Amino acid sequence: MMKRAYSKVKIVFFFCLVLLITTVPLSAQKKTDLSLKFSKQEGLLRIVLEAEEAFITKTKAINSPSQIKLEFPGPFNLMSHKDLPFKVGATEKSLVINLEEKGEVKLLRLSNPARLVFDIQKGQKQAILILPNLFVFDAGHGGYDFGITSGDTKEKDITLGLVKDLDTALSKKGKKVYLTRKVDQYLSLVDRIKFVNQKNPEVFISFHSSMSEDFVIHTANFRDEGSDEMVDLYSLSSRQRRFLKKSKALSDSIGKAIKDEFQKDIIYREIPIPILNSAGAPAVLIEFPSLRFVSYDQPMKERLINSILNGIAAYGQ
Amino acid sequence: MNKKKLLIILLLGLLFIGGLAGGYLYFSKISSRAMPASEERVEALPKTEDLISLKIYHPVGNRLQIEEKRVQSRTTQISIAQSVVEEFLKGPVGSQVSELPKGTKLLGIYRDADRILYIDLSEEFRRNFQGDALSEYLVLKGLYDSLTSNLDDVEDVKILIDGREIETLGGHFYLSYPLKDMVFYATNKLQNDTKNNEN
Repeated sequence: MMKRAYSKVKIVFFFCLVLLITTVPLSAQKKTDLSLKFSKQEGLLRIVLEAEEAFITKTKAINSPSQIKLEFPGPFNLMSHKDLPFKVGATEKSLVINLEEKGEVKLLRLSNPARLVFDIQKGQKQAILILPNLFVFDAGHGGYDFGITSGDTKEKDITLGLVKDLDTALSKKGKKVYLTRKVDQYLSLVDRIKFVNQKNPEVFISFHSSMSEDFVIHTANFRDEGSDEMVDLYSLSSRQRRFLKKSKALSDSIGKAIKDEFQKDIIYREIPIPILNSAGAPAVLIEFPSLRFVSYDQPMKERLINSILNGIAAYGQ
Repeated sequence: MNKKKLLIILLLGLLFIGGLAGGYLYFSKISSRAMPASEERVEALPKTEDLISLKIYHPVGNRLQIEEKRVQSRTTQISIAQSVVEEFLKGPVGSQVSELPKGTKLLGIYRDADRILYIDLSEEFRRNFQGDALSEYLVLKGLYDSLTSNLDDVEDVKILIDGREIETLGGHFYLSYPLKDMVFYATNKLQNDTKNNEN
């Protein structure tokens, strides 16, 4: 009698175990619903991908005039119309959209509901960027000066990565680019200022991180009263005075380009930062949103660099 | 016989209780004389007229918040400066998150013949500073404004770290020069930061 009951318990236990083993992986691989919609309007094709916010924010997008590549944080269940004016290839965690006609692709990340919006302007030629020829970029902090930190991420590394990428992008276009530092080293403010003024660039940008979620663009600021023209002409700390108008134009152009790309407010601030006040060139200091709020992965860096280049080009015109 | 015994025990008991009560009263009087009166202890604290009011400019968000703090009266300018810096480093009352570098200690205050006040702070001031250009500016301006608004005879303020001159606090502004020429920018202008809000 007891033996029978024991064997029944054994069977039930075994059954539960099998159920557990089969359901856990199934639930772990739960697919996120991803809806793909599109609309067409006079040469503009709009593709919208909608899903849960956490899923969308972690999605990486790389685009070229003929293709959009998306990498998702997990498996997904694609819901779309059958007749699409573009070809879609999907793997477990990625999606490739091959456009039938080349065009300028613009990406917007929107919320409520969370979605990625791609606007493809067909038949439009890629804008030719008219850029100045000589640049100096300054990666803020370095060496034992980490700048703002968040976990293992340090401001000094992000700024260095950005200026190196800008250097690569502009050098490919035949432009001359100087970096105040190329490696992780401490460089004094005085040495940075000396370097900038030796190179006499057409554009000088210093890169830092802000403490907030905002982009902040700084230009120099001088005491209103008591300025002496002769002193200003020779004083290192007032070299920027002659370039203020150009610096403000540069700040406006870059700010507008960043706003267009990120759909975020830009804070413009005039403050007497030594590296700006002493720079004998059109100069701005850009603070990108804090690394505590934004992850600076490759797609994010590319967007930032493209928008800065667009801003510089608009300033150049 | 029994009644007599009972009476004696009762009497002895009463005597014992009386003795106890007398002893308690006697000793409690002695101890109260030995302890200083509570009024006398209050008098040991500074009187209202012994307190001075200090204006402290604390960096909070993107502005300086003025706070009035009452501290014990000081006779020399250096000791007032010491109180100002100590109150400044404490941060604003009731604030959960201080924007000032944690663990900073005041190591010394000196004044030279040119009336420049040297504030010597511990290494933590530089090492524990985390902030952007504006945060750094507000820390320096807050300290400068706190000192100059409470002291009469100060021409400028210079910060030292562990007794040494260092170039910068957080990589944006100079510490190698006195602060006056750098902190002229009025922080109320920061309220007018242009925010591009067009859509």
